[in-house]
Amino acid sequence: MSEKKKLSFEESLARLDKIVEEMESDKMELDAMISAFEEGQRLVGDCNAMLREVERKIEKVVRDGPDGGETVPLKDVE
Amino acid sequence: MLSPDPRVLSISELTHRIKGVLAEEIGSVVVQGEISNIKRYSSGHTYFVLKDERAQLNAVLFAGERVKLKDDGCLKDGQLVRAGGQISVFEGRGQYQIIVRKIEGAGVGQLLERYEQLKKKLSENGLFDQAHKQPLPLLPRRIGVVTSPSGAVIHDMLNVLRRRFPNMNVLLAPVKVQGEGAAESIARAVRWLNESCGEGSPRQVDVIIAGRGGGSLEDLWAFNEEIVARAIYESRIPVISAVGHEVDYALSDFVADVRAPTPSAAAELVVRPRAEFESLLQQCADQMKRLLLQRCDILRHRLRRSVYSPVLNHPDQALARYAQRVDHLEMRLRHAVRREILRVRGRYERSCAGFNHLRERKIDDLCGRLGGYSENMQRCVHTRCLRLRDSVEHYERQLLLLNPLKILERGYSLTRTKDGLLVRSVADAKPGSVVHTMLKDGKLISEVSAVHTTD
Repeated sequence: MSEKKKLSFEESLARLDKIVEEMESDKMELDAMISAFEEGQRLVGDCNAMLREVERKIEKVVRDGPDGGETVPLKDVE
Repeated sequence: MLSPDPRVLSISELTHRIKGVLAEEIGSVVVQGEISNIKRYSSGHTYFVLKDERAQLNAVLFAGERVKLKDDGCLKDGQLVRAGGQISVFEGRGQYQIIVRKIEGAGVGQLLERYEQLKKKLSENGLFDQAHKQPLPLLPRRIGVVTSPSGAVIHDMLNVLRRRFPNMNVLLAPVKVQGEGAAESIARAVRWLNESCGEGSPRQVDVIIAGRGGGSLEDLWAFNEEIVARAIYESRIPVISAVGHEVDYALSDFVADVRAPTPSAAAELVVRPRAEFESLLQQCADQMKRLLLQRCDILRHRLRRSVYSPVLNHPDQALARYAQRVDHLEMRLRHAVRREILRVRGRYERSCAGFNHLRERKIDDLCGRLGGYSENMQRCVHTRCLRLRDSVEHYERQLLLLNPLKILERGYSLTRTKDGLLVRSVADAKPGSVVHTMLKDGKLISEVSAVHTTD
């Protein structure tokens, strides 16, 4: 299965669930099972990457104008 | 020019009289209003303004009275208080004021009433509808926190998050969580996060925690304001309300998508520990591997069974068994066919016998019927013949009667020319011509000698 759009973390987990369920069902041909396995491995990799790619940015909004706002690193609590 | 007049008062005299009137007419009172513009001087005296929607009243709490108060926690801007004291005039500035002797946070009763009214109203407006609740994201890219930048709350939350998900992104929108303008500040922050950190923004916030630490009902009041409730309701980013308190819920708790009892609890439930995700993924991977290997084992086992199966290893035996089976089937088939033939033949013969019998009966019947027809016909023909014969005789007699030759018997004759033409008039025969005259027993051939015409 080739998904053009990258799945979100939630979608990936849901897809993984489905893959495992299908693999458990005993109805899959070996070929299909191997491609499911490969897709599953790829999804596990993607999810792990997503867990790690968050950069631990702790920031604070500073307001310059009445509705303006930008963010700066929040230092005093780190 | 006004002349000296006993009725003219000096300012001091007037002020003194006003003071007297106020003391006499009003004297001791208990008032209720919101504190604003509070100032405490080095003398220890505290000055503030008490106000409601339409009016305001200067107030002073002298240092000596203040130390007698059991709880001066209510002496804060924005606080609704009930103050008891003396209405008096500060002569130096010509202002009337209340000299406070007792003061307490008044609001609780009244606040509770407002709380209930607003709760009812917002509930009726559908702000608490379950259908409007949004699910929290499983893995937020960034958590927006709407709370005070100072104090333990943000610190504790960041600690919890760091423990659970060390690299989680957090964006703090610092707000005032109590006092004047707190509600507006909170509402503005929630809206700002929606506008500036929505879907697709480089600093996209996937969930908002709005909260503060515990406190009195007055302290938490900002989270009960309609403006905050509306901002949370309108937020497209899911909101967790986290107002630290034990007993009742703040209105923000009802309207938020998820309620947490404290900000730290909100940090606990906003995202599952990273390790948990990782072990879940590991489990998935292991399970898939196990299933695939298991399937391979099953297939290998089946292959082995096939390889060692007697069919593949002693094909002749297998063939003999099949041959035997074929023979057996053939025999059964033969028996079946024979039985069928016998059955069909029997049926055929029975049918034939029946048919023959039927045929004979039919022929007899036909013969009988033909005999009948024949007799009838003979009778008919016979009758007809007799009748014809009668007719013939009748016509014969008629003919006999009408025969012209018959007349000859009575002595008449017929004369014809030699050409056979009947001579009816003397003109038909010229003298000298030959005529033939027919008599009853023969004919005369004569020559006409003369012709005489009758007159």
